[in-house]
Amino acid sequence: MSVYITNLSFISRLGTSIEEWVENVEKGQSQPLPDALPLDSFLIEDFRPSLYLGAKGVSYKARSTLFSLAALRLLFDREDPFLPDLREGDIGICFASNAGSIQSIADYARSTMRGGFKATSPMQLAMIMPSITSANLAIRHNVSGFNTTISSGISAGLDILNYSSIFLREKRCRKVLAGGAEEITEITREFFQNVDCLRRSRVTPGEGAAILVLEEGEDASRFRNVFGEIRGYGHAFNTEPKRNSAVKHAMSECMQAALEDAGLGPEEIDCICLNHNGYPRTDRAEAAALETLFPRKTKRTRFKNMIGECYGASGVFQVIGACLDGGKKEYDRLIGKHYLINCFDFESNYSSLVLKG
Amino acid sequence: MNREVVVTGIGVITCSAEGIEDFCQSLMEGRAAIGPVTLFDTSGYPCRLAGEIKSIRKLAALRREEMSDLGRASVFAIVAAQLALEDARFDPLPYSPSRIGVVLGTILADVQFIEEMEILGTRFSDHPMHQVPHYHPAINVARYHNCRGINYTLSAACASGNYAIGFGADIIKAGAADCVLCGGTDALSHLLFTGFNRLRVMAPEKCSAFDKNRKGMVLGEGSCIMVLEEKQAAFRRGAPIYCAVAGYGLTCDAYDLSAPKPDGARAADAMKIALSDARLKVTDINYINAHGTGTHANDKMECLAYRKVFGDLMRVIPTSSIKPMIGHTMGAAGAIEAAACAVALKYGIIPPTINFETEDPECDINLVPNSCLIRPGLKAALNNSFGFGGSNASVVFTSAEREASS
Repeated sequence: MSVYITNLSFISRLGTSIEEWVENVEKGQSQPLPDALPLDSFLIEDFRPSLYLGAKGVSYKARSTLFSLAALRLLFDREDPFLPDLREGDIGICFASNAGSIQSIADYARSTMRGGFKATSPMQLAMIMPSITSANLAIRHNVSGFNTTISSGISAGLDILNYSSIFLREKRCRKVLAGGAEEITEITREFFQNVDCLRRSRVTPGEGAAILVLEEGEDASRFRNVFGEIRGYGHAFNTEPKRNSAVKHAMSECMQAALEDAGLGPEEIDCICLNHNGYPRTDRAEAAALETLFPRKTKRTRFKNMIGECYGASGVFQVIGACLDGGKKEYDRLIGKHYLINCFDFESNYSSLVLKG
Repeated sequence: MNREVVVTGIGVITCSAEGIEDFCQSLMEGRAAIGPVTLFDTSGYPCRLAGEIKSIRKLAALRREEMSDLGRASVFAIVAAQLALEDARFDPLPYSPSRIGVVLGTILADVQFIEEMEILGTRFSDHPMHQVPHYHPAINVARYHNCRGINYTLSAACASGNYAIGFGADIIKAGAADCVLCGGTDALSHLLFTGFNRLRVMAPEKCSAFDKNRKGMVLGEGSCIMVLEEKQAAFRRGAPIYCAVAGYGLTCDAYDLSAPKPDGARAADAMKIALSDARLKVTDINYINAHGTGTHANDKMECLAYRKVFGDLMRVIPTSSIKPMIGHTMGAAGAIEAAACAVALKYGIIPPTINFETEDPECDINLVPNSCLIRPGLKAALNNSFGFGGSNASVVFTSAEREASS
């Protein structure tokens, strides 16, 4: 049984609408902020959450939660027959986020440790939960099916699609709002400067939120929009993330598993959406693994030089990039191109996804 | 593919027990280990008790040099995984490492490092990567135990442990893994302790779940890891089988970030979905392990939800909460309580709800008060967890005898 992407929405450095995204990608506009410090190059500087949520809907919420709520608001603002049945109870939410609540935790720690018991606001407690974004989405839009947050590093954005696909195939739900969100804040800037991993690298963090509507169905023609079909997924866990040959081996295993799951050979992949994010060890290993697995002529593309490394959300953004690939102008049918999308964490978790666009 | 999933090993560590045998004994005794918090300063707090783990015997037998700079939640999970693998008789390893996954539920994982940053004045960039994000307990378990399959950390507040068990079973059913180490882990944190005190949901002296005079909850810490395997493969290797993961249900209240929806409607729906998924009727359930935090709002809502699902059967089905013994272990709670269900199904030990004194007409259930019940031959147990953000998760376990005969 196939799982289809039947709608999508996002708040990103490449814009907030399909038209903006496609136009910016076609122009090759990476748009890093001209005067920003390197770690802020992909800050979504002009994001005004109250435009989407009203002034009251903004208080006490983390930036990543606001991105997500705004992205869902944009989805709802489109005329689509899908939207009314969100309240039927068998719609789930599955969100990827690794650092989405870390700034809130740090702020909370500051007030607790410095101000003591009485300085701590009871209102803030819920905000430090990693699942706060998906809970906010459910409450604001009364989505009462399952509500899962997955953290697994950079691979989380593809892992949520595997999780959601299993839920759809097992008939645990009828539709899933699958997405990811991350934010650039004081604490995430420090996180990306981490001594162990990133001091000598050129990883530039990104931020934003992306949401996909997933549905299962044998017959894609019943959907109004079909942006893509999830064909296969592979995962590998590397127990030796500091050994280059082990990194390459695990990445190869991961991509092969995705191809096998999709029932495709390497020569049937039309385009590879690279993980390539400026982190030397994983970039080198990915290039070496691709060299041995795929023909040289297979097109390679990377979105992270346009939106930054969006960490838990990057997989969802890469999927959107494939769905809105320049070769495709209509979203009511699939054109049959196969994409392999890679998300390889700095550490141990590697995931690959095969998408038919 | 019609693959069924069984529990073949359990590793558990709480303030009152370490290892499944000790855990069984503690449930039979109604052993509590709640006391004043020593991990951080609680002076000035109205409630100062918790279920704190004071020592870990198993550590002496582990490669401690690999755990020297890990947080408490990671260490608990590694220890629980070791205990679970030994319990499942995984020596030698019966599966390829790439077919063994890890799915853990947690809330704040190794958050103590962030607390320390404030105390010591260190910065994020001073800490190695593996100490900070909350998905590291799952990574640390996989690295220590050489599990190279799927590695996910699921967060659904206090329902996280049940979420992890359900998905662990799903990936085996889907053929994406042969074995999954799943469960939950969380450590006592100054942040949560302060936050729950500020919310005024903490009990000053003891947790008395479902008691008319209940005053709130007590926090705890710990981990439980279950070894899940495909049933036929487990039978073939002669694995010890506790029970089967028969089905589960997940819903969201979509109501409030911290309070449960008072009518319990979506919590009831989670139980109905779990029963339907397990293809069981309400009359098939012989034991319910309640979420039972001891707060007024949760216990009342939970009992309303039970009435919606089980009606008058709730006066018959033995129901208990083990939180008064070990505290509310947050992301680990669902998994530790799942272990209590497994013990009930395998050994007929129904744990008590200790500290119970006065019946509450609003909690009209067949509570097992203060002393355990011994009821051999139980066929099915229901494990419930409800969390912040309205996360509801119910898992149905069925007995190994039932599985062997099917």
